[in-house]
Amino acid sequence: MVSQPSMIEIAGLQKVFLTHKGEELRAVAGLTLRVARGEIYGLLGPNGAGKTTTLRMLAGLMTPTAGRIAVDGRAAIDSDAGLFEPMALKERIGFLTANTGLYARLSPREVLDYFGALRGLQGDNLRVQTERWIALLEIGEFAARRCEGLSTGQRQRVQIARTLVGDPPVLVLDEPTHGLDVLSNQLILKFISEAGRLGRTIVLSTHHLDEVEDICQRFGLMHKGKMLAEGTLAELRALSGKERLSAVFRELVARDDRGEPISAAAVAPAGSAAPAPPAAGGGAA
Amino acid sequence: MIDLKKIRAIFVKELRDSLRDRRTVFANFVIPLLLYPVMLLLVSEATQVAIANRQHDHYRVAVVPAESLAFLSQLEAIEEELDKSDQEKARAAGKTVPLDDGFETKEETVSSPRLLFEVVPDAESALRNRKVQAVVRLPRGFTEAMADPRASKDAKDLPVEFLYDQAEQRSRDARELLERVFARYQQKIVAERLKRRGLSVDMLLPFEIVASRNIAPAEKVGGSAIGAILPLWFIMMIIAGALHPAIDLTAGEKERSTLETLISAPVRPLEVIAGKFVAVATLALSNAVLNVLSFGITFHAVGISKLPDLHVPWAVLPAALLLLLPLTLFFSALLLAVASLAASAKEAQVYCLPIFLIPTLGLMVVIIPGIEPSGSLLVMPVINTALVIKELFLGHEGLAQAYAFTFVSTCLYAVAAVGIAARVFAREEILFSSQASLRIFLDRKFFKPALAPKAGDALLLLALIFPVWFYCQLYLPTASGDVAVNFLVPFVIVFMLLPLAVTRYLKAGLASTFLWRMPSPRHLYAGILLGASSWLLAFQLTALQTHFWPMPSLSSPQLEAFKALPIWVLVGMLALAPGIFEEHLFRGFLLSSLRQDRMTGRSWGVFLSAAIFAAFHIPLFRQPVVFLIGLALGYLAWESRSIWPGVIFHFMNNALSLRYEDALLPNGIDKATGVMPSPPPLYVAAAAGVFALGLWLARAPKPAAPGPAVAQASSLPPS
Repeated sequence: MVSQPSMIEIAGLQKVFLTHKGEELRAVAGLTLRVARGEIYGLLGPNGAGKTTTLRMLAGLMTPTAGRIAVDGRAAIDSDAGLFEPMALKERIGFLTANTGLYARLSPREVLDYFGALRGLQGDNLRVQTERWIALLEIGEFAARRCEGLSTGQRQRVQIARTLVGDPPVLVLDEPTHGLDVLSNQLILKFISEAGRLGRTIVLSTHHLDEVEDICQRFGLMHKGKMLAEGTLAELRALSGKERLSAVFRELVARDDRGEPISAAAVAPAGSAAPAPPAAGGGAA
Repeated sequence: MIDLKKIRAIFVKELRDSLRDRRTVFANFVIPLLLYPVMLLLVSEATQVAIANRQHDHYRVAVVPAESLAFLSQLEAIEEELDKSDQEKARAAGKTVPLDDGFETKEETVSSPRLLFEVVPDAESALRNRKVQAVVRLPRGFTEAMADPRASKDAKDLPVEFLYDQAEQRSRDARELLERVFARYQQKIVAERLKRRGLSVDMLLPFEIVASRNIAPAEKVGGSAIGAILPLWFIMMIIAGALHPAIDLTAGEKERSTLETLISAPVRPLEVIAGKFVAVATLALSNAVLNVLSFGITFHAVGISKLPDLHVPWAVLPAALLLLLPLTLFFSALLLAVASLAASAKEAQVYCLPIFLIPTLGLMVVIIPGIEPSGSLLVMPVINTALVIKELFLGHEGLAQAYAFTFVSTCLYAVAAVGIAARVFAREEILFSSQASLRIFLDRKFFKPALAPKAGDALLLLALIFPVWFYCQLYLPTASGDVAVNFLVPFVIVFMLLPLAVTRYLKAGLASTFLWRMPSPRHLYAGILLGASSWLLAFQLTALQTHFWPMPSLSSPQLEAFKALPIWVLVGMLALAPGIFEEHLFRGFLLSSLRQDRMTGRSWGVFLSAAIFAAFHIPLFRQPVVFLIGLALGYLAWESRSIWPGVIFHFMNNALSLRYEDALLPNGIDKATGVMPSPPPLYVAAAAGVFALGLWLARAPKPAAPGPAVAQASSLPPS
């Protein structure tokens, strides 16, 4: 088996916030993670584990206090070398969070045109891209309506289309199904796995653990700013002795809280060799 | 480097978004179009009513003692006489008679109010309660004394007293009228008494003032009325027009959580802020223009029939609007920066309130008569603009210098305000914060170590230094004490210590900001060659410039005092000090910040730093040549990444032109024409050659394999 080149490489990532009182708050404490090209990676963790901060740093919205981030073979952040180029990250990553809003007074088509233009698309290129994502995400029937009149599910479809305009090779989705009904949920999940099959690398965080069991090839479990365990579903099951992902999750977090070892087997320490390749049917499809 | 296409995309989107916002449309378009017609119609109706009332108006005057009442009613005839002669005078002098409400009204409608004398029980309290407008107190036996042909009583025994209420306009008017009526009565008595003795009144009044004629053209009269109000009002409309969009596009976006969406796209903070800034400025300017147009049209339409027409000096309007442009940019950027600090629209409104109030209070200065745009007022933001516009409307001449200063300094403030806004937008703590973030913005704890200050910070400091420096230039020559000390102390403080302190405060590296590293020999030679030749070229260019821009007389007490100093002191002051200190500020602090922040590439960075360098070189006449030298200095600093070649260049340029000025200009400058003779062409040609060689040497050799950014970055200062 030939190991795939990594699409995302994060090493020793740290983020220390200063509170308004000037106290230090360590949100991410030395995180290391790799995502292979075409892989769908699930970043899981309880509230306050540092998932959102990690994803924001990965997407170039926040500056890490320390660490290294490279995407698509290009080093964008390297605190030791003083390298800080968030634009290199933003150009390669489409970013979506649960709490990002849409411009209420613009129509979905205008929103997509806008973000296409911000990705440097122009003229026919821009139009082709916009129409393609409108068709793929079934936005057509409300593409000319103002976003303020759309339902939550419709809005989320527009948001996903917005991250995809300009074809960034990596999608970073922070709780993409948050607050959606069952139907919209399914549509979004179906779309994510399709995007993965089409060769996109996706990093996904969610609370709805069980629904992503089938979608993600590998999972990382964050707790208190650190990577608790990492691996495929099978590896995590073996590690925890539990079947469902939500149970795995509860078990491992509980062990960590009790101060028990997680078992080193599936944990990828910083600077280790490339992680296990994705399960069959990953990026190679 | 900044991507203009992205800025344009953001601008178009923000404008479209704002124009779909009902509140913006209402505030910026509906109100100006409807408010003024309605308001002016109401005002003109009210004025009509007031004028109509006035014709039948009387001032009620209480009489003490009661028996004088019969006598006072005789004064009525005198009043009528006064009224008539006023109207005749007015007819001779101009067309209209001013009323005290500031409006001018056609004479036909004017009829002065009358005095109505009456007896009331307690005259003073009646005045206090505004039952009467004035009280006349006559001495006992006044009527008899006036009728006495022999005038046997002394004037001091016949005191006439008027009581009035200074706080009441109508009471003041009544007093004025009383005084005039009594003065006329006095003249009448005098004339009668003289006549009785066979003497002429001419004995006492050798001549008569027939009329005072106003020579101001109607435009100036109108201009003075409009000039005081229009700038004020225009500026307030600019702020009002920028206020809502600025809040909506920043704090509003945060509140609706679209900001995170936006900054996740591949755009730089500066591009985001630039696009938003242009959109806000467009809306602000359109609001101001629309307000003025709506007001003007309404005023004109109403004025023809009812209100007297104020002659607006339309010709100066373009110049006035041009001056308002940088001010619009300044306020748009300032409001954007302040609103960006807030986490919600409501909070932003609280923050922005002072930006509306402080200039409005400051603008009261403009209304004070006799205040002119000169001295330190010239660099006072907002006030300078309002004053220059007022002068423009008054038709005053010789405003070029004031206009240029106002324009340049306001541009500088606008650039600084954009810098602040960009700084706010680049701070993730502020973008992602749910609380007010002023503290994060200012507290050193939150700063990250950097190679150089952010471009916005550098521009902000330069903009703050500008008025201080201007003030120094203006007042220090007249200060007492040692000339050299007076000259050098502000130089050291403003150009050197202040930037050093700010750089430390911002946790930026001193050596990397001020380019203290040793240069390569190649760049040192470049500095020497450039400094050896530039001064001759500067002479040549100045000489050419004097052909179409005569050299102003530059003699001043300061220059005279300088001439008395020994040459080495002079070289120290005028060559060594500028060489070191100006280089530290303009090439070290400013250019490094522009470069490290990647706000500009080489061309724009060198251009901007040279333009600001020139702006600091007062007077205006020197600025073109200083700008060109600034370009060469900036280029040399950029390429050599060291301050020292530029210090040598700058020092040599100043020292050599000091040393050889008299040799080059043995006869000085032609005082009559202001034309300066050119240096010998052979010298100039040689200097041009040396200069070109210097520039060629200044070009940095191609960097070695590892990129300069990484190589440099490893020298990050400790936090």
